[in-house]
Amino acid sequence: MMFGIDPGIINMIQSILLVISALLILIAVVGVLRIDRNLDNVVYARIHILGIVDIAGIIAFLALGQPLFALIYLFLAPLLAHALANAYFHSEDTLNNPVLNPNLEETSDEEEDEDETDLVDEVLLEDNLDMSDDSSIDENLDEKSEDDGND
Amino acid sequence: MDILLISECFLIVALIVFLIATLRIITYKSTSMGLIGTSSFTLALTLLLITVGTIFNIGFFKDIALALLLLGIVGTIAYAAVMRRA
Repeated sequence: MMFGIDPGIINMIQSILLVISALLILIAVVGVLRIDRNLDNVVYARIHILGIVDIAGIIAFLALGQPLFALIYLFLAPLLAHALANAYFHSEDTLNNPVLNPNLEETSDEEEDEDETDLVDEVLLEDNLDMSDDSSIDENLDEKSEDDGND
Repeated sequence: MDILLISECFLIVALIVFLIATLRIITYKSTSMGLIGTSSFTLALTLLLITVGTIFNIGFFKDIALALLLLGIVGTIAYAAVMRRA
C-alpha cells in the first residue's frame, strides 16, 4: 500500500500513462516523417512536433518512477528547443533572416516604397479632387458676385 | 502477464520506432536537422534504458541514462550556441 492506495490501481495508472506516452511518440513519428519537406519553415515545424515527444518523455519518466529525470527534462527541453531554433535562424534560415538573405531586405524596402508611392498618389488625387471642388466653388462665387454686380 | 509489463513493452516498441525516425532525421542535409535528430535520439535512448532497467531490475542503467540525458542536452545546447555565433 503506497499512500493508502492499492498497488493494483497504481500499476493501472502507470500502465495508462505509459500507453499514452507511447501513443504520443507514435503520433509524433508519423507527423515528423510525413510533413512535406518543401514547406516554408519546415524546421520550426519539426521542432514543434518533437515537443510532443518531450512531453511524452516527461510523462513516461513519471510513470516509470523517475521524477528527477522528469524534472530535469522539464527544465531543459524548452531551452533545447529555443537554442535549436535560434541556431537555425542565425546560421541557415535564408527565408526569414535578412542578414543571410540581403534580397529579403531589398524586397521589403521596395514593397514599403511602393506602399508610400501609393499613399502619395492617393493624397494627390484627393488634393486634385479638393482643388476641383474649390474651383467649382470659386466659379459659383464669381457668378454670384457678377450677379450682385449686375444688381 | 502483468499489464504494466505489457505497457512497458508497448513503450519500448514505440521508442524503437522513434529511434529509427530520429536516425532518418539525422540524415537530412542541414546541420540543424542533425542537431534536432541527435537530441531526440538522446531522449529516446534515455527512456529506453530506464524502461529496460525497470523491467530487468538493472540499477546502473539509471546512472547511464542520467549521464546521457544531461550530457546530451547540454552538449546540444552548447553546439547550438556555437553554431549561432559562427
